[in-house]
Parts: sequence; C-alpha cells; structure tokens
Amino acid sequence: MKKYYADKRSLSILRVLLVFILIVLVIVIKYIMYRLELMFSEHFASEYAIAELVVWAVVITSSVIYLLYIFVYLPIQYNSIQYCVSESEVIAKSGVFFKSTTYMKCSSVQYVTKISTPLSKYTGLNFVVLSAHGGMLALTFLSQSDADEICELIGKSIMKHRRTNIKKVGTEKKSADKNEELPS
Amino acid sequence: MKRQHPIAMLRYTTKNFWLLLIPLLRGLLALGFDLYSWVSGAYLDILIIFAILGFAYLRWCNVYFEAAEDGIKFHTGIFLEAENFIPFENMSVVASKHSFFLRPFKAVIIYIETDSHPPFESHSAPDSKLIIKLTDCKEIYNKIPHKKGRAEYIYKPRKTELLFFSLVFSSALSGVLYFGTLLFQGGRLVSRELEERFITAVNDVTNIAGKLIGGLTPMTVGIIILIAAGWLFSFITNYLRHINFELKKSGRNIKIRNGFFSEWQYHINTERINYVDLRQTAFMKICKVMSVHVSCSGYGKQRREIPVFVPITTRHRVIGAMNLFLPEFTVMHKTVHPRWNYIMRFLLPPTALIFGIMLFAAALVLVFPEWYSIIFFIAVMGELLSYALLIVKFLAYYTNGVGTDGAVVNLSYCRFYQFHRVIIPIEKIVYTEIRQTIFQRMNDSCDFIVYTKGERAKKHRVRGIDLHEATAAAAVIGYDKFT
Repeated sequence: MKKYYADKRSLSILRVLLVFILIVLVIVIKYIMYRLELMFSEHFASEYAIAELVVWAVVITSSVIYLLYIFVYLPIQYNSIQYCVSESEVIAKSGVFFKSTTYMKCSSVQYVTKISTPLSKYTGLNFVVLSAHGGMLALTFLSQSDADEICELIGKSIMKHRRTNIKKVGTEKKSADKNEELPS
Repeated sequence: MKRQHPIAMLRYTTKNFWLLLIPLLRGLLALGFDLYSWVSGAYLDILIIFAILGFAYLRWCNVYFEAAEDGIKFHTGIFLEAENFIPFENMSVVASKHSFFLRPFKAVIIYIETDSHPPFESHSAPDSKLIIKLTDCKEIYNKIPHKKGRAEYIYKPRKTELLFFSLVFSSALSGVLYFGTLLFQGGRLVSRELEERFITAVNDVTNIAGKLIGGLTPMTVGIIILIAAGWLFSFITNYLRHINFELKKSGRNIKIRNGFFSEWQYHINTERINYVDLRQTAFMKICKVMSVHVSCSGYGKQRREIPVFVPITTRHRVIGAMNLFLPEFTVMHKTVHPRWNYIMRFLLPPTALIFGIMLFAAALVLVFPEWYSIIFFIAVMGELLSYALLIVKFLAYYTNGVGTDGAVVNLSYCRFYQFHRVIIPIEKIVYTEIRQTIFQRMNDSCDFIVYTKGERAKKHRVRGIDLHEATAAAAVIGYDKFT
C-alpha cells in the first residue's frame, strides 16, 4: 500500500488565486458604493455615512475571516489529506474539525478519470475521480506524477479483477433447461 | 487518437444558437438578401453566432478517443482536461443511434454506459456520449469482447405484437408533456402570425368537438382532446421506436436493434443485467400475454425509452426466449403466498381513495359551485381509475408471492396498475428488508422488500406476506440475521 499526500504547490496557487479574488471583490464593492453615492447623494452627505460604515465593517470582517481561511485553515486542511492506494482498496482521509475516512474497494471501481488544469505539472492541480458502482471518490490536489501513478495502479487493479471474475464465470455450470412453465 | 465527426460541433453550440440564427436568417430573407443592410443592422448577432461557432470548434478539437484492445480511452476538455479509460469488461451497454438526419453524413451517436455515472454529472447522463463516424463505430463494435462470429440465437417479434405493445405501454402524460414542450419551443421559433393561426385552428377544433359531444364545456372537451392527442402521439412514437425490433445473442453479448427513422443498436453484457421483469397489466393477463423488460445500466435510460427485451408475446414464447437468451434467470413457482386474512392490506388503499375522491369533490363543489361541471368530470375520471385500481389490487392478492432456490429470487408483486414478476440473481441483491406496519404486527404479516443493484438501488416490494415465511425466504438468500 502506498501513501499519497496533497501537493503543496497547489496550496500556493490557491492562495494567490483566492487573494486575487478578494482584491477584485473589494474593488467591485468600492465601485458599487461610488455609484450608489452618485445616485443617492443625500444619504451620503456626511463624511461618515452609516450605510457606508456598515458595508465596510461587513467587508472588513469577511475579509479577515477569508484571510484566516486562506492562511490558517487551508494549510491544516492540506496537511490532513492522505490517500492510501493498494491493489485491493483505496482509503481517503481528510478533514480538520470533522475527520472523514472513506474506503473504496478497487473491485467496485468501474473507471478512473484524471482531471488536469493548465500547467498542472507545475501547479499540482491534478484530480483523480474513481467512478464506482453507485458513487464516486475524488482524490484532490495531487502532483502529476502521483495522479499518473494512481491511475495506472487502479487501472491495473480493475483489469485484474475483471479477469478473475471471467475465470469464475467460465467454471460455473449453467443449466439451459431450468425454466419452468409459468403458473396461470 | 481520433476525433469525433465534424458534425459534432453543432452539439457544442448553445441552446440559444438556433434562436439567434433562425431570426437572423429570416431577417436576411425579409431584406431580399441585401447583405450590406443586413450586416449593418445585425452585426452584433452575427458576431455572437461566429463566437459560438468558434467556441464549438475549440471544444470539438479537444475531444478525442481511442479504441484499444481492452477498452476505450477518452480525452475531453479545454482548460480542465479530463482523461479516462473505460474497459470493455466494465461496460454494461454500448448503444448507438443512427438518426435519420445524421445518415447522409455517415455519422452515429454512440453511448457508453457502465454501472457508475460520470463525475459531477447526474445519474441520467451517459458515461460517454460521442458523435463519431460510422467506420469508427463499427471498429468499436468489433472490439467488444465475448462475441462469437455468428449469432447463436435470433428473436424477432411479430408486427401485431409490436402494435399491441405500443398500445399497452403508451402514456398520455408523457405524450402531453412532449407535445407541450414542442409547442412551447416551436412558438419561440416561428413568427407570431403562425402561432396565432395555430391557436385559432385549435379553438375551431375544440368548438366543433364540443358541438359533436353535447353537454360538455369547451374546457372539458379541450382536456379530452389534449389527453387523446398526447396518448396518440405516445403510441405513434412508441411504435416507430420499437418497429424492426430484433434480439441476437452471441456469447455473453446480446444485441438489440429497433427503430424506424432512427435506428438504435444496443450491445448488452449479460453479466451486467441486474434483474429481469416480466410485466403484465390486467388486460394483458386476460389476453394471456406478457412483456419482458431487463434492468441494465444504460438500457432504457433515455427519455421515452422502455427497457424492453421481449415486447409482448404469449407465456410459452416468453419462456422459450428466456431459455435461449437468459438461461441464468430462472422462473420458478412461488413458495410464499399471502394468507386469506391479509386481503385488507391490498383492498384498503384503493377503497380509501374511492371515498376520498367523492368527499373531496363534494367539498370542492360546495366551495366553487361555478366549477361544478369540471369538478364532476375530474371526479368521475378519478373514481373510474380508483375502481380499476381496486380490481387490480384484488388480482394482486392472488398473484403476490416470493420464490427462491438459493441462487435466484422470484418476486411477484403489483405496483399501481402493473403486475411484476422480477427474477433476481442473489449476487445482484444489495440488501433485503422486512417491514411491518402496526396492523401487520397484529396478524404476523409483513412486506418483503428487496433492493437490487444498478446506477441507483431499485426497490421491489411484495406486500402482505407471512412474517415467518418471509424470514425463512430471506435466510435462504443469505440473510441469516432474520432467523
């Protein structure tokens, strides 16, 4: 069984992206406030209008929480991600406050999908999704080499399980004349 | 790696593409092909059309596939690239649709289905859907394993059987819904004048019918015409869908072919069939015929598609077909039956419905006396359906039961107006449940419920069974916790 962990390079990319989104949102809010000030100038007569103060208080509080999420919670979340992959099963562990462990048998996996983003070789934003009977399991923020390795390992395991099943079916005897006449 | 057929680009245009294009072309026609005036007036729409086509081309370029010896590899996506490999062994159904409008281009729509569903999409979406060249489709079919050179068995139903099948399995509701959608979408595309002409024609027909069928309000006549038209539409589409129906077995692969304007082909892996369902209505019971349906991920998944295996035929031919095509699905006698004192479990719900409709209609007439005729009409229709349900549930009391030999389970039950005899291999059962209501606890009866595998677990409920016999049956199929 081999263990895989989340690629920390994707954490840096996510941080940059999320901070950029925050800056854009603040600029948009500032622009909206400017337009509102032009349209309803009577409500923005004083230097410290109550509406503006409330809006900026909410924006600042949300930004602080958002930044705490990016710089404190996200790294802890990343450290908690662990995938154990073997020929027979896949175990995915993650969670900060609520730890979750998911077990999936390779025999129930129907196929594997690898999702890559642009420049995923350098960003570490690779995802592997195992589509199984009745559900799916997503392995997130993997490096490209890890994603390729997992796909190959599980792919081989799927083929091995199918070949084993074919042999089992081939040795069973099937009776062709078992069906009885249906009752009225 | 190969790309899809170029016509697949149209699939990647948005739904609004045609809503933009058709009025644009109508405008060009109205201007007498004066290109300068047309472009200067509609340059923004033209730019949007080109942008949509450009994006569709980009998406088409980034979808390709490769049929290897043991499976098919897919690659999709522009920014988010998704690669997957589906082994042939894990494919439950490989279906293809030769639409009449794709035939001149030698293109085919192919659907790949497994027991799972694609990541981040709904259960109804196929695992893969591509529009490919006919030659590529044949290449994929040739690589499907466990087929022998020639078909071992072939089954073709008679035309009269197909007609009867369409008659029984047509639904007024689905026809009305489809018709309504068609009218709504069509209204957005055609001009106002055409729409008004259509509405006037409908009003004229309703008025004429109202004069012929005296004593009914125009609204009632309109509803009757709508339901009849919906049923007729459903009947015609069902018949055209299942005409030319043919079953061929080769090794562990069953090929089903049907369709008139659009030809459908399905390659089903028999190992992936979850259960077989022998269906009858009360009318079919009187005529001593039945229909065989199969549950296999991907077959019968499309809208208005029925997962039929043998459309409609006599018991004798059904048994013959099952012996040849699906010998592992054994039909057997029931060992567990409802007892005489369990009959109220069957008759009470429809009886409550009969009285409930009467009381509800009476209350509505008191509150809305001006709507008397329409309330009366709907109440009479409801009462007729409830009495029919009462008769069906009375028959269900005699036909319900469970049979098992340890390898296969046979469940006979009734759901609404249809009788089901479901044959399930033990390994396809997800779990079994024995449920008792307060009244059932008094007379030691229960409902025996089995959930079968599939993209979603399917529930099969046999009502009014003796508790001890149900427990014994569950133990036979491996659930010892019940003993």
